[in-house]
Amino acid sequence: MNDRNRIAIAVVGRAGDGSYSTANILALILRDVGCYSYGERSIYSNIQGRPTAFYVVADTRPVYWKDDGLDILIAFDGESLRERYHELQVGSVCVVDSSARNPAARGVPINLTDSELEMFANKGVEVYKIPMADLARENFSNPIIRNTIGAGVVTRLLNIPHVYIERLVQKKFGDKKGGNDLIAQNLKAFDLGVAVATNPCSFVWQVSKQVNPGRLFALGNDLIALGALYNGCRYFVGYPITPATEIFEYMMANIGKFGGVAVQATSELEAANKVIGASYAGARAMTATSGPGFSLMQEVLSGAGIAETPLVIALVQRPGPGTGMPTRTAQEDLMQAVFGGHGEFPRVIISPATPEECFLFGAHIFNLAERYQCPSILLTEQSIGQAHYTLNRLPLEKVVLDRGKVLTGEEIEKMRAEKIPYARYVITDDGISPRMFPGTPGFLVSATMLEHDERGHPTEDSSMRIAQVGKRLRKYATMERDGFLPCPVVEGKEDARIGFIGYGSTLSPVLCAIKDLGEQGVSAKYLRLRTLWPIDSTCIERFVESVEHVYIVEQNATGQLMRLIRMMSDIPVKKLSSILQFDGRRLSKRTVIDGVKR
Amino acid sequence: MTTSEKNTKQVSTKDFENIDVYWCAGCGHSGALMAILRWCVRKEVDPSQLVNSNGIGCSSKVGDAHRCNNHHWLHGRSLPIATAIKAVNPKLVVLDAGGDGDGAAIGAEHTLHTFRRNPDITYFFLNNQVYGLTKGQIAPTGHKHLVTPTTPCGSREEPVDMCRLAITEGATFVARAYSYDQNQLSLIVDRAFEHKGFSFVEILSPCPTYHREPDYDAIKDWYKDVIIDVGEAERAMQDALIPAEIVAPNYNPSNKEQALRAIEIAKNITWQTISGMARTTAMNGKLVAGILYCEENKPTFEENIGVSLEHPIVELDLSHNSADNQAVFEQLTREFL
Repeated sequence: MNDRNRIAIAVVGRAGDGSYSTANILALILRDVGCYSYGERSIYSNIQGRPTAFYVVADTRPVYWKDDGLDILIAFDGESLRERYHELQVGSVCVVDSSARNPAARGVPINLTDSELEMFANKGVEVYKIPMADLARENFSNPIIRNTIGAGVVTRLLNIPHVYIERLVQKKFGDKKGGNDLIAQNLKAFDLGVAVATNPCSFVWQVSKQVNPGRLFALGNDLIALGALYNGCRYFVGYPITPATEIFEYMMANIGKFGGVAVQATSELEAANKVIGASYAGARAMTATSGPGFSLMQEVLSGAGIAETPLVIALVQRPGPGTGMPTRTAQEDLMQAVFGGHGEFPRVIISPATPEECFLFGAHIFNLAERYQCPSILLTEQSIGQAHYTLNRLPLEKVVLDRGKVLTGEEIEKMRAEKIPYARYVITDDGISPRMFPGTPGFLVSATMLEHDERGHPTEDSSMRIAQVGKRLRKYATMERDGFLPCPVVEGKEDARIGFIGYGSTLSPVLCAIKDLGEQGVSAKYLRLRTLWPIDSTCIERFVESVEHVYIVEQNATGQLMRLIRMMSDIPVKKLSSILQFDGRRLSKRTVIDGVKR
Repeated sequence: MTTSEKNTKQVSTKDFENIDVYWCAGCGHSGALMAILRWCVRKEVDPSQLVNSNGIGCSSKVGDAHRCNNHHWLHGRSLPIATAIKAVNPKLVVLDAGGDGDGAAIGAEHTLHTFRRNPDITYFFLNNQVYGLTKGQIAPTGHKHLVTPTTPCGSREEPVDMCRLAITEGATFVARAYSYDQNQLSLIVDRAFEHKGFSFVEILSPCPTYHREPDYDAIKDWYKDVIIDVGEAERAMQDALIPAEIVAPNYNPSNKEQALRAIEIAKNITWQTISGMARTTAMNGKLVAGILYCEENKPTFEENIGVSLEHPIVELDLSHNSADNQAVFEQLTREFL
């Protein structure tokens, strides 16, 4: 609250009432004035009518989460406001739409009773009643414009210079049909909001003096897709599923600009199988899904394992089992990703935690899939995929295009001259057989998910079976030698007393918990795993040895990462505890601190 | 096969044979394979430019036996594979050879949507009414009352007619052939490969080991009684049941309604309507064979998704530094500013 480098805003309303657009406008303006904006959604699996909350956090440093507490809450709906009341704190400002009628589907007007107002006052929350829907109706005969009025109110509360508003409105509506009218209307709405708000904040928000130096504001899923496109993804097959759909939609909108194609499948089965076909033919192909779709893809993982066809899947986790809670977040599919699919075959799983990593891993996953010719999973979560981030820039210099072992034109010429047929599954020391693509004159390229000999002909010969299984599994040794997989990162003081291990979106809550624990005299550090399979047990063992106790922090109920670590490493069980949160909401700092205290 | 070899040597089906496959004596799949290999010979196909995508079952051995690029894949998923291969590299000729389990059971979803999407691939749907490789259980194409290990009292379900589904759901070339009738099959195979768009060829393929019909010693004789050529006027007239406009020698395969009516009428030729046919056989009616439906000039899936023969996806320059890629990438990045 008193941290003047950071401000947290919530916009609450009803699904479909446009409050998302208020949050989006605020996030962009705050990015433009030179802050790092972060956006998060807390919504039901519903299109119209259920309460929603959109959070915007602006910070002078990069920010990847919301943390607890709100500075400003702007409420368009009574029920939604009551759902979020607990997040308000001393000094918070609450702006409510005091119109008599709430135009949203199933909208409840905000008629605060005297006792409720007293409750706010006792909590130290200042309440500003502004009839935003009425103002919109009177001035524009369109109540939806209350969203822009609301944004105007907040910009006034935050002392944001008017020029930023003008610039954003120009940019947002300039390209649209009837742009000039929209610009004029929205600017007027903004000004209405600015005019009705005085500057009531009891805190002073330091607007950064620096104008946005070219920072990007993007969704995690969009960054994954952009990374994939940057590194040559030219065929994408998707099946809509929350919370992975934005990857698909981004591809649909943009892959054609690179000469590629995105298509909609009729199931995740079709999607994953089409990736295999395209990959066999020589394209960089990909699909994206969430738990339920990934369940359907299990047979393809197994097939790709034996056929040794590169397979790229982005898996954006949500709470299960079954349909679970589609719009919420979880880390429940680690086991499925590591062990899914029948039979034994190598695979790779990497997981990003920052927006830069979303882009990088979206690009790098293709290198891994083609280098090791195996299923390669980019494992992430709703709370990353559907979060909006501000990045300074894209780490382009870190992206390489590595297509692994593919026979070159020269090598093929030599084979042709010497009349050597192509053997797709030739036994090699590193377990990787060079690829060739169908259509190469004079050569035949087979792919099969039957056990096979070096030429790809089916065989059940015992020694060939042993040789092929050995060849495939040798890829793990090659991966270890290569050092091409993202390595674990240690955050915090080297000589800390306790340690945390986790991956993905647990990063920010754990780091904030470490800061708080440090203030209470407990020093801690965090081992962030970026490759989840094959797991770097040596690194984990060393980390555990360096501290008194380790807490494995994850968003599921059964401690999947804990089980995996115990299975794969030699660590005294007494040194490990789990910290778990599985309510579908993002891990809170409190969960982490309470877990340590317990 | 290189050009110089072609000039000096007579091409035969041997040139297109890959490994030996072990089908039962009399298996209809050999006839299906032979028809494909003969087409390769007639057209002097370059095996390196041909892909055979297949799934699981006795039928998938067509791929193993066929010397070309072979993609032997999971049960029922050969059509998504074939469609994707063609989409990223339309220069390749892509055929799919699958069984009734692949195409009508576990992979029926893909078959249905391939009909309406119309990719330029040729699909041989080998229908023998049973699952041979797991020892004879009924397939969804198996007729009502068919006795198999999983239908000991006879099947209680109606079979699916994939040709009818193909016609109603937008396939642009639909034919049914009998694997023992190589003349007709060859003609159909030629036309199927020539056709631009999705060609659906159902090959009735006797399973001498597991498909049993009570009144017949040899299953191929049962097929003889069951099959009726859609264009064969004389025989239809003999049965005296099919209205003249359908059975006229100039049966017009561009008429969807006529095709559907022919299928329906053949189905209604039962023991009640015709004497002298074995009772158990005729209970389920007949199956029309021939080119049932053909629609030219409908855009293919590849055309619809904007894939070009000149710039196939597999030939795109993927490097970060290429001017085109860089320009597009910079434009996309700017959208986040």
